[in-house]
Formats: sequence, C-alpha cells, structure tokens
Amino acid sequence: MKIENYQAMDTWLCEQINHTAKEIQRLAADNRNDEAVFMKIRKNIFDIFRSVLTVSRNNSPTDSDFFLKRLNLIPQSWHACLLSAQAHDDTEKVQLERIKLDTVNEIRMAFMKIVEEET
Amino acid sequence: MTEADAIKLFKCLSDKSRLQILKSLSIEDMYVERLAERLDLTPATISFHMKKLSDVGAVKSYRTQYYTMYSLCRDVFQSRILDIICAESDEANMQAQRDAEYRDRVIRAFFEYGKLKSIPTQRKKERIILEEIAKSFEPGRIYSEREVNIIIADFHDDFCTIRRDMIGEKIMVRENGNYWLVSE
Repeated sequence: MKIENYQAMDTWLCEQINHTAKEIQRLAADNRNDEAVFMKIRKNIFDIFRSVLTVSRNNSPTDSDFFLKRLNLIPQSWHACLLSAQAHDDTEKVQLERIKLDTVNEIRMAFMKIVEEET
Repeated sequence: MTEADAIKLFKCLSDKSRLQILKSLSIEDMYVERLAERLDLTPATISFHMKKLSDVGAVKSYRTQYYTMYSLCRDVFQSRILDIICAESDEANMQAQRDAEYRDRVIRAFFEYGKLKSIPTQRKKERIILEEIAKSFEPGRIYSEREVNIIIADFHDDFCTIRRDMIGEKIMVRENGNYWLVSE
C-alpha cells in the first residue's frame, strides 16, 4: 500500500476521532450522558484502529491485507458478545456491541475505498 | 414509591433524550421507529432508552398488529416530590444503628471497670460520656452539689470539670446550689 494511502487513512481516522471528541462534549453538555458514552465507544474504536494502522505501516508497509485482516479479526469477540447479548435479551449490551461493530464497518468501508482508488 | 425506586426513577429521568421520549408519549402512544424519526435518534438508541424507562416503570409496551407500541405510565408520575422527600427513609434506620454503634465504641474506649479512664477532648465523645454518667442520676430528683460530686467522683477524680461540662451541655441544670437532670 502506498505511503500516501496510509496517510489518507490516518487523516480520515483523525477526523473521526476529532469529530467524536466534539460530539462527546456536546452530548454531555446537553444532558445526554448515555449517548455521550456511545460516542466514546466509537472514538475508542477509531483510536484502536489508528494504532493498528500505525503498526501496519511500520511492520508491513506494502501489505494492505495486514490492516484488513485486523479489521476482521479484532471484532470477532465483539460479534460473539453481540450474539450472547441478543440471546439473553440484554438490550443495553446489544446496543454497545452493535456500536462497536458498526464503527468497524465504517472503518472498513473507508479503507476499501482508499485501496480501490489506489488500484 | 420507596426511596430506592425514587432514586432509580430520578436517575433515569436525568437524561434529555429520555425526557423527550416521555414528552412524546404524553401526547400519544408511539412505536420505536416513529420516536426515532421524531427525535432524530437511531431506532437502536430509542430501544436502549425504552429499556431503561421500562425498568423504572415509566413506560409500558403492548403489541399491535404491526408494531410494539409504548405508552406512558402516568401513575408513576402522580407521586408528589414532596411526599417522596417526607417519606420515612431506610437511611434513617441505618443512621440510628450507626449512631448506636459509635456510642458503644466510645463508651468501651473510655470506660474500664465502670471508671472513666480519661475525659475525651473531642466534644462529641465527651457528650456521650457525660450522658452515660448522667444515667447514675434519678430524673426529677434535686441533688446538692456535694451529692453530685460524690456520684461523679465514682467515675473520675476530676468531678469539677465533669460537673461543669454537664451543665454546659445542658444535661444537668444548676440553680441556687441545687442540681437536677434536664428532662427529655
């Protein structure tokens, strides 16, 4: 993967992190603390995969599959938690796990778009 | 409504989204998707809030042909906040128990074989000691200063300080050289 595309992906992740940070403050100030927590979860996911992207660039700079594999591997436990929460009708946990998985999907789509533009 | 229920309800209501959901339901019963559209939130977020509101009894649900509808439980909101505040508290009993345990600890710490080891410097502890000594006096009976000194001396040599402090703490009254317990 080209260095510019790592940069593009890093920039996109930074934008999401900054945006979610502002949203957390806005929601908390608006007395929507639960939704602020949801936004914190999203921010954490963006932070995690920004770190993974850095590792990917340092360890396997030409291998775009490295990052994509991590995008598939890391959420596996979250998916298992989601299924368990659904089975036990745990609405709160379902919501939290769904947020994590939806955020990963967003990252995956952004990454795929950047890789497609490269090819 | 118990104190515990009131706390849960107030915590649940201290969220703008949930208040807006309740405002919407106060107008008419609604289903999740309709609330989501009305409040510009995702259906998943609405479901999350509905669970919290259901748990505290603020809303209830019922099935129609196509949707699960939610309605406001108006009964829960009939209680006046003043009634909740004035209701007897579980905490009051716990507090009384803690006070009694503290009192016992102080008495055990300062008395040995019925004698006062030392006069506490802390006012709160001294008051407990003075009240304990006051049990040796009969309510309603008038004592001379000599009698008071003898009774107190049984506990501690410094009967002057203890006698003076019992007056100061309004456990006993002194008038014209006579002493008696303050009635409760």
